[in-house]
This record gives sequence, structure tokens and C-alpha cells, in this order.
Amino acid sequence: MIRRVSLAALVAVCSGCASWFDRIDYFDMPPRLEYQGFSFDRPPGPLWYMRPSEQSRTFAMLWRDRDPSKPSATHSFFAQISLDRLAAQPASAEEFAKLAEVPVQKALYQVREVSRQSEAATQQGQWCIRFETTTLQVGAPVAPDQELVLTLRGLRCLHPAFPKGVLTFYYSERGTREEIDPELSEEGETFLHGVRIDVAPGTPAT
Amino acid sequence: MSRLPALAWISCSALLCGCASFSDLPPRPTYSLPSGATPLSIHLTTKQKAFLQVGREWIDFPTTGLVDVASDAVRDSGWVRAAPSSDVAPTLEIELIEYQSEGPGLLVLLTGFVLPGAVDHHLELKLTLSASPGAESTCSRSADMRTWYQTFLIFVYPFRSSGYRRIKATEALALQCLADLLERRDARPAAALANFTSRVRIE
Repeated sequence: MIRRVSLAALVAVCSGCASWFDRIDYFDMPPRLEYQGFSFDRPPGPLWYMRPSEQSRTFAMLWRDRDPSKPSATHSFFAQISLDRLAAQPASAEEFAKLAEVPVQKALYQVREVSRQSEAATQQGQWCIRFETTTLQVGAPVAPDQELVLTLRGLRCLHPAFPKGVLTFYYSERGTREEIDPELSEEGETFLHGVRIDVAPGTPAT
Repeated sequence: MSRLPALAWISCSALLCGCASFSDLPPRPTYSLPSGATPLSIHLTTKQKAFLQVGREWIDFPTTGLVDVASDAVRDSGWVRAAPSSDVAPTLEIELIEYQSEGPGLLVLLTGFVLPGAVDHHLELKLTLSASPGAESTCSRSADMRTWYQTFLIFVYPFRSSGYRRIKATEALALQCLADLLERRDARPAAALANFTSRVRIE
């Protein structure tokens, strides 16, 4: 019995330690972070961090803590970049725009999309779409009785180095209407501006 | 001098002075007022917050008064002048947020700073120039500064004082932003400026 309890305690301590160390703070990030097919500037401020367990060679996710003077359990903000695959290789910008359309948000609770905008854009000479969606959520586990607003803003760009490759990078903010902070959008836009499509490590697409 | 006070003195010296910063300072702007222009009259206000990272949390931390350094840099630039409180003039708000990472670490402290450690600072400065409600122009600048702690840095301290470099960085950020705001103001189309001027005259 004592052995089992000790083992359980050891597992609990080890998993606790693992989650404790599963974090890279702003101050420990290099000025530029390199992944397969893309790179980006260190996010703009010390309230940003990333969890190594959430990263892969083609996927990066960065969280942004809320202003410490305005704590909230219902507000979240993160940015995400991923190298994905389209269903087919597009032959034109219009075809790319159709193939790269952002899917509607789905969840186990009530979700209603209230606005969706998408327009053609380019980055480093590549076909892109710039998108923005706003969704209302009711019944989310963090606030079962409140209506939350979820906004996604970002780009999807055809990647020149990978067949059917598409780079998706966006930021997401969710919270009650009062919690949505326009200053965070500025930080999100700064982050998007720092993203670069790379055809090889350290070699930007042109 | 017995051995104990000597050791205490050395430890205190290391604690107080064994630190230095080698971070680059932000460049100072090269802005100059357009020929014949007079400095803009402004009302100056300041706001300051400071946060210390403790584990994964950020806690409020006593401010260091760096916002006053920024305010002095703006006043001493010669590009603006403080308007008398009774005058109607645009408001320039200076907001400074300081973030400081955790201390150099227990191991560093236990070894009496023989092992080196570092503390990171992030300065975020925002200047908002508002001529009237809704007509605001803002500028944000930030800088990262790292302070190294190590016993032998006591000899470098007079040349690389971290506090002094934070002051210089704050001044540079404030001047960069002020120059940016004034350049934007100077670059307004002449026609818009003429309309604005005539409207002011009528009033």
C-alpha cells in the first residue's frame, strides 16, 4: 500500500514538474524563431509565452497573458502558425481563395458565427487571403452561463516550397464583450507582421 | 580588519555593485523642428506601472520613477514646451510599463554571485498626443535590457551601470516617440493644415 501511495506521489510530482517546466517565457525566446517553412519575430512583450509541448516542426502556438492588473478567468489570447495542406494545388488566386477558406468554428457547446470577412492579399509575392471571423459562444466550460465573443484574424498563404502547402497564421481572442481589448489586436497585428514564409532555413520566399 | 567584517563588506559590495548591463541602447532620433517653427505647447501627463514576474504570475511592483525621466527628456528636447495650465493646448500623455523577470536565481545567491546570473527588464513606453477627444495620435516603443550579476562585474559597474542604461534607454524611447508624433504632425497635408488653422482663427 505504502509503495503504491509513494508511486502515485512520485508520478504526481513528476507530472507537476513537467508542466512547470513546459513553458518558454518571452525573456528566454530568441529574437527570431525558426520552424519548417516559416519563421517569426519574438512576440511583442513579456506577457507572451509558449509551451514546448504544443510546438512541432510545422506548428507554433504562443499565448499572451492578460494585463496583470486586469485578471480574468474567461479571457484568452493566443497566436498560431501552422503549415498545412490544401485539398488540391490551386491554379489561380481565385481557386486558392476557395480552397483556403477558413472553416466554421465547431465546438461541443453552442457556437454561432456572426461575421466573416475574407479578402485576397499577397505576402512575399505569394497568394494569400486575409480573414476575420467573429463567433459567439454560449456554454463554454470556462463560463457556462456567459456569452463569449471569439475573434480570429489572420492570413492563409500558399507556400511555394511545399506542394499544396498553405501557411496559416492568425491570432485569436476570446472573452466577454467587456474584456475584448483593442490594444491586444495591435499586438496581434505586430505578431502577424513578423511572420515570414521561408523556402529553406533562413531563406525567405520572394 | 578581522576576516568576518571583510567578508561582509565584500558580499555587500557584490550585492550592490556586482552588476552590469551590456544591452544596446535604443538610438536617439535625429529630428529637428521645421525652420521657423515654434515648439508645440502641450499639457504633459504621466502614468506608470511596474510588474515583477514571480513564477508564472506577474505581480504589481513599486515603480522606479523612470516615467519622470521620460517626461524630463520630452521637456528638455526643445521640440515642445509646457503650456500654462490655464491655456487650451493638446495633451501629451506618457505611459511607461516596466516588466522585470525573476531574480538571478538561488544558486547564484548561494555562491555569493561567483556564478553569474541575469535579470531581464522590458520597458514599454507609449506616448499619446490628443488635440481633442477622438483626435489622438499614439506611438509605442519598447526596449529589452538584461542586467548581469557577478562578483567581478564590480569593476565594470561604473561604466556599465544597469540603472543608468535604463535611464538612457527610457530617454531615447521617449524622444523616438516624440519625434515620430511630431513628424506625423508636420507631414499633415498643407490643405488640411490651412483648414485647421482657419477654423481655429474663426473660433
